Amino acid sequence: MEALISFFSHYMLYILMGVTILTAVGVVYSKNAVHSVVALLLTMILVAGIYLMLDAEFIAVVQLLVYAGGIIVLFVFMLLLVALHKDEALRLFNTYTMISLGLIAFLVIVLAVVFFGTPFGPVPETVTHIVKGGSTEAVAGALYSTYILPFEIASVLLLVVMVGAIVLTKERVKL
Amino acid sequence: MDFTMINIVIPTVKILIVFTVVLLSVLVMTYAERKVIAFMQVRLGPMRVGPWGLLQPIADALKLFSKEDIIPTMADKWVYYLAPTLAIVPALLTFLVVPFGDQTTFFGLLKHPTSMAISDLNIGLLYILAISSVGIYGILLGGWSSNSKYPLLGALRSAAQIVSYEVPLTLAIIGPILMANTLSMKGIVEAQSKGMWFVIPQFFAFLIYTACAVAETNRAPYDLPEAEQELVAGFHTEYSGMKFAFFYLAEYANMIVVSAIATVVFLGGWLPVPGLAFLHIPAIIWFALKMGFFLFIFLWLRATYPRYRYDQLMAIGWKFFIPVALINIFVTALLVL
Amino acid sequence: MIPVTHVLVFSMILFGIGVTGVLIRRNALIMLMSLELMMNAANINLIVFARQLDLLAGQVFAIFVMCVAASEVAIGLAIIAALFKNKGTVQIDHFNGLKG
Repeated sequence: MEALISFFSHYMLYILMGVTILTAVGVVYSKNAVHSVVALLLTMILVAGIYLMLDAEFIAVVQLLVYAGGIIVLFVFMLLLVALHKDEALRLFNTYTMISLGLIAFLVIVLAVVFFGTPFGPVPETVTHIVKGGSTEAVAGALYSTYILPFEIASVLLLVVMVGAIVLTKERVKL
Repeated sequence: MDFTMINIVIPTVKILIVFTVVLLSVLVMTYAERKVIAFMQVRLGPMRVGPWGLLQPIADALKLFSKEDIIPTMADKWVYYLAPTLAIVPALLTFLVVPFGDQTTFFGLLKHPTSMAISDLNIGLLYILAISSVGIYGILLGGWSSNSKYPLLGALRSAAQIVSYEVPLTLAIIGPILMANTLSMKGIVEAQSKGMWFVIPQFFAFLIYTACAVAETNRAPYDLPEAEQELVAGFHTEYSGMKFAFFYLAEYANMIVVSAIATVVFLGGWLPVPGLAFLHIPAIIWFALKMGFFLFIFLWLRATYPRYRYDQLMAIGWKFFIPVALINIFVTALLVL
Repeated sequence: MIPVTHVLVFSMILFGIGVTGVLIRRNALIMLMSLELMMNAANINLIVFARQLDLLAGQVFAIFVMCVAASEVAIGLAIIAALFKNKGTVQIDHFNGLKG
């Protein structure tokens, strides 16, 4: 039993990362767009799990709230509206699939070599700034003091987006 | 028992107990709903199965489990199977952080006092909000995958409604969070034990929370996603047997969750009613009584109010609840500062 | 804790999958979803370096990235909705009005 638990706590991150890659592939290669969005939802939840393993539980919860609670609902909503009309059977992938895949595989391999060649130093066992087991207060403190200007800019961005989305989708607007 | 074993056994037992109690209270809830509404309408309600119809929920459950499991021919099988699971798993996961009482040793059964919550996360309230926001996908995907028009319409309505009412619901909880200065469920109750229950200083927040909680759980008078006169049964029209039972369970589990949050955040959790502490009623009974009161409000509203029209529903959510909740946050923040 | 290199390679693969999706899929909605995968890969890097260097800046920036991602999706979906109203499809092959 204890061996099992230590095994899981040690390899949990690897398991999460492996499953995340599978679901991410599902997002791109599903034939049905709704299957894609289900895969995207699972990916987001798993990424939240990865954040949790990296001592960032506030970010993990925000990830769930923003992505699972907001963004993907928008996607599903849009998909349901689009799926009401039968789209004619189009090819799913374009002609450059093989070339793109080759280029991206090359990019990933080159960067992986770079990553393995860079000495990042050992992983710190204890973290002080990122308060272990409760980063909420620490993040909030930094957000509202050091990073107050980007925070305000972000709120202006959201306001602009709100206005923009309404203007774009309002009935009278002719594109 | 050594330390690790205790760390495994106690949470496992807690999880089993909490899930059993939640599932049983869903059974009780279905019976109570029919009885309460029947009495409000001067009827008797279920009387046939058992004394006063007490065995009716068990008969209903047996009926659901033994029904034929129908899958529409044109349904998307994978998503059709996934949807009930996506509905019920978040509903049950939210019970992870609900503190049903103070730390206890269970009458000296355990050496060290253990918390009555399965896990006392320090971001408990955020965790509940995050997990419950995933529950909407069960409804959305269930409605889509049935490949039928009424479920799709129900799902679209439900998506718009839940997303709209999640905003004022969250904003309403922020007032008490500001007063308690913590996100931990336990911490919020302890903050109320020092002063008064947050329902008094945060009365408007409590009203908004109640209204939005009813909307979040798709209950009357906000039950447009399953308005039977217009949409047959809404998003679960094509579901039958066990899969329908899952949706049903998820709906009632969600009601219990929002009642638990209301109890913890506004009604003082496991604390006794001021002035009645001399009765020495155990904390968990107080918690259950308060939750029962909040659940009764659900039934009361259902028996009293007619259904909103869709545009009224959206207008009241966006033009009334959100501004009032924002003003409440401003005033609370000023007072706390 | 596992070495930071492994997480970096993982996020690189996730980013690669996102790029693949944008390059080879023809459905505008799925291209947007792939963009989200890329944003998440960037966020994972920020978080893992915040853990490695013991700096809060990474976590704060992850929040900003999420904010920008949400804005991007809202505007992107609004544009797609407008295009869908105009053309009746979301396949980008059909949006070739500027082609000579």
